[in-house]
Amino acid sequence: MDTKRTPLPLLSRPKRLGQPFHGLLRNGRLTLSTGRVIEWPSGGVVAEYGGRFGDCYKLQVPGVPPVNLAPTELASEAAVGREWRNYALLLGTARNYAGINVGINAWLYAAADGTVWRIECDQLGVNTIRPTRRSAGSFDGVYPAGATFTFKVRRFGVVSPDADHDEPTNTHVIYQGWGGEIVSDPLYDNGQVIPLENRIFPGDGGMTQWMPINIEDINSRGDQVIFGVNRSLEQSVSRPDSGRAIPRAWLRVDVAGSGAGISISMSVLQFGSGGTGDYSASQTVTSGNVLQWVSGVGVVPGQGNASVVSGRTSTTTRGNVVAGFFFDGNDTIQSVAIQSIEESKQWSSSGSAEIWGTETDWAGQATAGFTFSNSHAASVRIGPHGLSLPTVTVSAGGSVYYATPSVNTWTFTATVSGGVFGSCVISADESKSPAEYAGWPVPTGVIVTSSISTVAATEWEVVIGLGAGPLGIRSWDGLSLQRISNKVYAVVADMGYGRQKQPTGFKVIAFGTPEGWVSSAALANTLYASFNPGTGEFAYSAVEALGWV
Amino acid sequence: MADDLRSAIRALGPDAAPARDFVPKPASPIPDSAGKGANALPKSGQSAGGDMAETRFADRTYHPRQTLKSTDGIITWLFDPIKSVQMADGAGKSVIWTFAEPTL
Repeated sequence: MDTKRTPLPLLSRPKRLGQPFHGLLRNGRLTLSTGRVIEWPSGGVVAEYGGRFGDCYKLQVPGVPPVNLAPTELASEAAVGREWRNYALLLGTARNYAGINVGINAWLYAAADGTVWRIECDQLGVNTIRPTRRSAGSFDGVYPAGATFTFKVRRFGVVSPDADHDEPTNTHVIYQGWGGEIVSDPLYDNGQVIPLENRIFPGDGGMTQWMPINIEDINSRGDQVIFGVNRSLEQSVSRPDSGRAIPRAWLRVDVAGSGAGISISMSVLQFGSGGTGDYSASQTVTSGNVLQWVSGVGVVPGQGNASVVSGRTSTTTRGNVVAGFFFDGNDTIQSVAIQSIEESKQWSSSGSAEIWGTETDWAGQATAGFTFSNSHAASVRIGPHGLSLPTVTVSAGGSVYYATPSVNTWTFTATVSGGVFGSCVISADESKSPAEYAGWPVPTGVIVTSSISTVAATEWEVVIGLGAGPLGIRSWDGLSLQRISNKVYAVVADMGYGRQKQPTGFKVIAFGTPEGWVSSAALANTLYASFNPGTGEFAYSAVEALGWV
Repeated sequence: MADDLRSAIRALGPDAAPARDFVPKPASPIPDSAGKGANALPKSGQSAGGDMAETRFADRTYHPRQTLKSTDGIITWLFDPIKSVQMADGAGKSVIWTFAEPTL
């Protein structure tokens, strides 16, 4: 026992203990007010995960008094770059405290009696949950309905002459389901690969995929923790090589008590709505259908068998698609969501049709003019803070002439404006499909829904789309809502995947934090962002991984 | 002048015996010898000085355990302040250093 006694220099007088260096880490370095630069000790683990510094967790231990220094001492401490606080900030996915990694598979819990405990969970930060095929020969797969979580609890931060703080105090084993069935990405074994942007689960886009569970956020005492089921550890706008996991469920972990009396319970915070979300659609046709031939047998000569749409509206709304959860400054659970997406169309057309001949030998002609307009509004929300995104509007018109059901000419022109990348004009005719227009800024994904050769439907449509991937906001400009860190989400235009082709890469439109949205052109090339839950400060950077200590 | 003063003083009181001159006797000579310090023996526990060395680690004593918490409450430092250390001087004499209990 004596060999472990804490050395206290005889002539010293312990006065104050703690971590007095605070500020913004840039690529792992902290610059003090004195100009001194500290290379932040990370134990190798944070660096191992690609500089994942963005997460920042506040830990407030109950009963810890404010640090009240006399003005002279405050000044003398500041003069050497020190600031003493009565709460801690834990950095990055490994929750680094003063150079000590708590671990990507653990967090700190502060009991009501002021003791601090490290709680480790074996299901965090591993890739062991894998899907199985529903049946032989099928690409359809499903993940296990739940998992067994083993929590090991032991004291943290005790520097003691004794050895009795080294062993786990207690262990809890809990089986927890997700709240519903989680379907895997297709389990292709025929060489097909799911594109990165469309993967829900990380993996190789084929047979190898997994459902990682990681900490979504922790409240300021560590007695409430949110686990993201299928949450990957990225801390930037960049997409990991294996793909960005899109949560399928969120679990809540509650901790209470102290010492051997610590209890842990789990529950489902939310199942689903992390991807497909709520979806509703309506359509009203006020008069008939589109201009239409009814061809072939049964057509009665002389009877025009065509109708013309005089008006139609269609609205699609997808609301409150949850991208994640976080604890606000009052330790209240808040959600981050795609608030609403709407597509509304107004159609009008006019024309005439005539059919002649016999039942077996007939011909006809038709002409039609049409117009339509389309708007696509979207907004996002982080906690109570909403942000409306630029609305895309489409104005289009054209005409079609049918000499026979299979011979026709047509023209089509549409103007699309209001998107992230500005306006463009699409023109097409029967000799050149819109899809053949390539290059910037002309869209390549215009969908012509008319099936002219069999049913003469004047339904040309510029598809704006609800967005690629489960958290896609809008396909037109490749918008999606992405988690950057435990307190920061980003609206990102993925220029490589938007229908309106742009140079490949990312463009951040806005960052959301517990205090609201930040949106400016200056964000365009940023990759990293971090929010300080202790001070409310927010920082972003294009080249430096950021994190607060 | 001096005689006048003496006469005047005598006139103030009874006759005093006249002062005698003090002349010390000469001391006996000290025999030749080697010089040496003749310090008194130290009391028990007092050192004669010289190199000090701790006799036994296990003889240390400690004040009651103290706790210092970090300002953020995360780190709890438990330590036992040293109360006494037993030393021995070059002559093998024991010296005990006793320290006050530190205040935080």
